[in-house]
Amino acid sequence: MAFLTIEPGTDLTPAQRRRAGRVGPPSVMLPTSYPSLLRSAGFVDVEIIDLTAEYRITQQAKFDEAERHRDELIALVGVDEHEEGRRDRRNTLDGIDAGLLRRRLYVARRR
Amino acid sequence: MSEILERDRHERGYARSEADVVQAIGRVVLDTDYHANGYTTRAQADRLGDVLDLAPGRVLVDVGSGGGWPGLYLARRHGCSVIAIDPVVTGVQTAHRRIVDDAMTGRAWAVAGTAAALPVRPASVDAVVHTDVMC
Repeated sequence: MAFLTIEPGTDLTPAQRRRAGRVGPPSVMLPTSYPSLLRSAGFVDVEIIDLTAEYRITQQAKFDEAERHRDELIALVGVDEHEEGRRDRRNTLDGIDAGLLRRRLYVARRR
Repeated sequence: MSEILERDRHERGYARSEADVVQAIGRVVLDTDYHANGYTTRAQADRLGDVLDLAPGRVLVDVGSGGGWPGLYLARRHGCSVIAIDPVVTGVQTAHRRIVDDAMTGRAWAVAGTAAALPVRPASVDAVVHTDVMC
């Protein structure tokens, strides 16, 4: 099995974790860790690859493209939702830069 | 209740992914013309295919595949079979249209289902992938 996900950064204070939950994707706050979930599902060989730098580039591109297509997006979703999305995208970028969010690739195998 | 709201959010997202502007943004940001709405780029999808050793004769399950990204793409690239599973009907319909358009019927299926109750028999698949499902 292999999966890509976004999760809170390491060694965050409770306040930072709360902020990560606000600026990250809707379900970013997992009550446990992926390695423990994988172990409980019988996976023993788990490789973790950090892709946060790529995530930062993707998120910046999302922000830039949404700006470039602002008028078309407003026609699609309305000005309020577009502005809310713009704030969210900006906050997510700030969260990545602050180390609150990271993207990882998990590769897990059963023996 | 939260599951219903979440499904509703995804229904809206998949419906909007049909719009030309959303497709144009997806091509630039994720380098894909599939109806992708997450963070998985083509380079990352390629990496998934490589680490999973996908090849003709193998069966891949993509859990939470939405409109088919990246499961259908991986099956096309590596020649394997794929079962693309998503709980949101709009996403399943989009993925099915892509299967037909890409002439992949017979080795690609888009079906409604959830991770908690996958519509596949135990030990019947070779690889499982999911992207941006748990975040």
